[in-house]
Amino acid sequence: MQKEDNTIYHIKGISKVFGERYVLNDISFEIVKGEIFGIIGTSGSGKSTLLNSLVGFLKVDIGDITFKNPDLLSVDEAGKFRSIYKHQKELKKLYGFAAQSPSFYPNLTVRENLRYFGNLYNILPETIESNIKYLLGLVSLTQSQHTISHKLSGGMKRRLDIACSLVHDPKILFLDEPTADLDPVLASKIWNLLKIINQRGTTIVMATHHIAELEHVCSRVGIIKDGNMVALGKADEIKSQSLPKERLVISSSPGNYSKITAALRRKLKKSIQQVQIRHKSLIIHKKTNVNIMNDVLGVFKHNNEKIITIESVKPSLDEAFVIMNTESEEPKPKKKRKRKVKHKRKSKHKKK
Amino acid sequence: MKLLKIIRKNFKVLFRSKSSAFVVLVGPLIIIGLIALALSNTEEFKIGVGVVAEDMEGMTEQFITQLKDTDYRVVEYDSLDACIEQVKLKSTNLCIKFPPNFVLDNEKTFEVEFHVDQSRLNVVEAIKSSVLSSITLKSDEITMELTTKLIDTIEIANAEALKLANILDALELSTFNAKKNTDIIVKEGKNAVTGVESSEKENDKVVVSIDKLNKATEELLGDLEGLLDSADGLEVKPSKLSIVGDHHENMTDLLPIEVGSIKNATNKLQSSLADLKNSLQSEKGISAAAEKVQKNIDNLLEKIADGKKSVNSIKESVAGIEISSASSIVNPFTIEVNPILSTSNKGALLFPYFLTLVILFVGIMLSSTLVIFEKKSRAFFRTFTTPTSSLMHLLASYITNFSVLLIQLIVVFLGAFYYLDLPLIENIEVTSVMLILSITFFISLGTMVGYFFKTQEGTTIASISMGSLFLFLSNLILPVESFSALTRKLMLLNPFMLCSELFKKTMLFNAGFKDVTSELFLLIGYIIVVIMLAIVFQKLSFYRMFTGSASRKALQKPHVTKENCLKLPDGTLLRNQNDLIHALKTMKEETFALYVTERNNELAAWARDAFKSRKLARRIRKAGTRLGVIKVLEADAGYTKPVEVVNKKVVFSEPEFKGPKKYKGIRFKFVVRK
Repeated sequence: MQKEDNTIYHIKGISKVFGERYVLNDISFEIVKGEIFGIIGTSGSGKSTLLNSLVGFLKVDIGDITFKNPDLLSVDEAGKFRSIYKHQKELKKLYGFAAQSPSFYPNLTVRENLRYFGNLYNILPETIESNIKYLLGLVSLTQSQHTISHKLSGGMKRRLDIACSLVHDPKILFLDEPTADLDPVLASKIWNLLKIINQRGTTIVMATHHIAELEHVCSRVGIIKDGNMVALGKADEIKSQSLPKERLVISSSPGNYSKITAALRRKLKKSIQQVQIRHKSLIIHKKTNVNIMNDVLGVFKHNNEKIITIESVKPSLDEAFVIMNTESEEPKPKKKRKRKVKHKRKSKHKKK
Repeated sequence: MKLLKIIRKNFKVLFRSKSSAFVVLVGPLIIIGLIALALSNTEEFKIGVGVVAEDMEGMTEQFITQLKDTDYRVVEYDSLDACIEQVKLKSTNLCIKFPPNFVLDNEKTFEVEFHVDQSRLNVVEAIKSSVLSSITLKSDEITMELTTKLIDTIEIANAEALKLANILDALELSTFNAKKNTDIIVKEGKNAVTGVESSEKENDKVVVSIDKLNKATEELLGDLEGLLDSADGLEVKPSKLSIVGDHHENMTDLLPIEVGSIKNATNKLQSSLADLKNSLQSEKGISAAAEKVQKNIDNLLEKIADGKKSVNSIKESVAGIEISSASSIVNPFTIEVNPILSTSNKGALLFPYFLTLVILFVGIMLSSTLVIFEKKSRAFFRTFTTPTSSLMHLLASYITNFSVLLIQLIVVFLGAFYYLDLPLIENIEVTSVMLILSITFFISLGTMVGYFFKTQEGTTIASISMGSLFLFLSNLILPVESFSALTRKLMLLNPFMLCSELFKKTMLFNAGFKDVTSELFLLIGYIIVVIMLAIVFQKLSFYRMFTGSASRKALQKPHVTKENCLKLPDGTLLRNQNDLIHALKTMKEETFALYVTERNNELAAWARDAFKSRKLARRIRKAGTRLGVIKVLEADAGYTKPVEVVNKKVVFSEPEFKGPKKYKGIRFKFVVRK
């Protein structure tokens, strides 16, 4: 019941079609007040389309998107979800949007930009001034407030863009690739800034393909692939659902890994998902959380391999994302093997 | 309040950018400068007339002085070629070659040659007629002088004829008296002959009468001499007017003959009188002599009657000359060009056109620049995320442009007032409305262009092209009045022409709203259409901003290469319909599923783009299954035996290809030769 109260966005089975192609395909999720929701996907997977659909820039072909303004005084009104298309004006007051490329006037100063966009929200001039003062401090642009915007550095421009999105003190902040084109140091600053903004009570929804940072920043994550939401939930939940629990990286001498791989697949078929040979090491992806260390060591010993190093690595969201995106694209290994075998047989026949 | 903030922002954006500041500030100054140069009357901008003449005397000198007095820049050249070369180089506008020994001569006709550059369509006629009128003026002056002389001579001859008539009257009277005296002499002579003694008294009376008669006859002879001199003084002058020539001929032909015959008769009379006198003195043969005198007098009277008749004929002829004024003969009728405008200031007459020109170019370029700045700044996107209506931005943009253009027009008006000596707006109410409407139209047009094009380059080129087209299809460049009625009507729909004509009517002819109703409604109609289009294009810009990029990304078909080939998982590239048919025949269902899903049909998309056939794409989408798609493709390619199912097994026909029946609208017919 508590969760239902905090939900501010309902996305119900939305699909968006461009020409022959379904860019979004039956996507459903909710956005909860105060969270940082990350949308992850490869380029062209549909995450920007999803973000643009959430604020009504794009109209979805199937499904519905509704929102609730938590600050409405009337209890009856506050509990109602409204269509984003029918209540655009109200929705626009509710959110701020920072697009992939900074969106402000390059010929205006930092302060002029903030003041101008503040004015477009029908806010009292005093409120705008106090907001500007606070935001300039927050995004560390107080010193540059009278600088013409196009003279700012890349990181400063990004911060100004975020500040412009926050000048009317929105309840939700939508960010599309907030760290695109930024070096790791500047990107790190932006992540910290977003955490601070979230701590002030602003719900953040962002789309990015920089997954490593998202894992630490986002409360929940949705992974999009070819317009489908393939995973949704907390980062740990996604990892546990879609990734091997743990992987063992072992290097041994003399290093006859193909023989060991075959032996491991035979003996631990139920516990191992995948075995890979990389950089003079053997990587064993586990299927379950069952301890298989002794069995693995036994296989090595049986094949007269002397263990040099052994490492147990926990999977990251990044890897989960990569695996999810590569899984279906590549033909299944079983079939490949069969085909190869057939070819081999054919070639043997030919030789005969 | 919000509107003011947006306008303030617009001004900042405009003036902080070099390119827009150039358009806003320098552009109008250049136009004003050009107008000032075009309309100034300094020496440098006079019409240059090249003159070629072997000698600069006589009529040539008079003509050149006339050209100089008419404020032409006269340049003398040694040869015609040198002069024509300068016309080609545009340093001289035309060449005039005067003939050698150019003086008035009865026997010769002189030719003055004009050499003009006819490639300068718009000015050649004006220059030619201007210089020609100056030359004609001088020519008329000379003709006038000659005609005045001729008329004076005729008047003198007329006066002399009057005098002659008086003399003839007196002569007639004297002759009658002489006749009377002669009758007495004859009577008295007869008496003497018949025995009646003639007294000395009577003889003296007769002698006195004869002397009187002799004196009168001498006087008559003197007058006749004078009359003949006058007749000789009438020079034969060339005249183009036949009426004067005819009368002149009459006078010169009649007078010497008639006067000569009177003179002869008088001489005869004089000799008869001398005989009579001698007879009286000898007192013998008086009667015979007197009779001879009587006969001569009768003869004289006859001749006098003839002379009077001739003089009367001359008088009648001279009186019959209807036009006796030289100016009336030279110019029998005068043309008076009465300007319907009180001003003759060239600048004032052209001002409506230049005013429209400023509004046209600055209006379109300024508004399109402002819009493209907005779009390019990406702030356009943020603006869209705010709860401010897009119409508010459109209105703010209009007010910004209007204010800037109004300031520029004030500068133009003041510049025209001080430097071109033009009057400030008359008929201010109607003109102000026209100004507002025309500014609104061109600003809206520029806004529409700005929202339609994506880049600043595209917008600038479109704005300039549009302005130039309007300008070119106007009566400022083309002689619209000489076009067909339909073309003229169509060209009057040109907004530039429409606005300039409205300004002309309101500013120069003080036209009221009633006089320009139709044009006014047309302009308002244009404004409504352009504003509607601007709103539509603004919405489209927003739509393109999100949908355009998203759909481009989405429609990038993952299995289609840059060369528009369909890539199979094994790397095979399919280039055409036949490749696809063969590939589908060997394709596994799993592979087919990569391209065709329940909701996404990449094969249909590829067929639409690669084969440019929406119809085929639609059929492929409908077919859905692999076999269905093969069937559709084979049928479309013209295979005679499409895929068949025999004994629950799929049998693919041999590709007996007959060729497409129709390809890109061309119908093919295949003929089998035996």
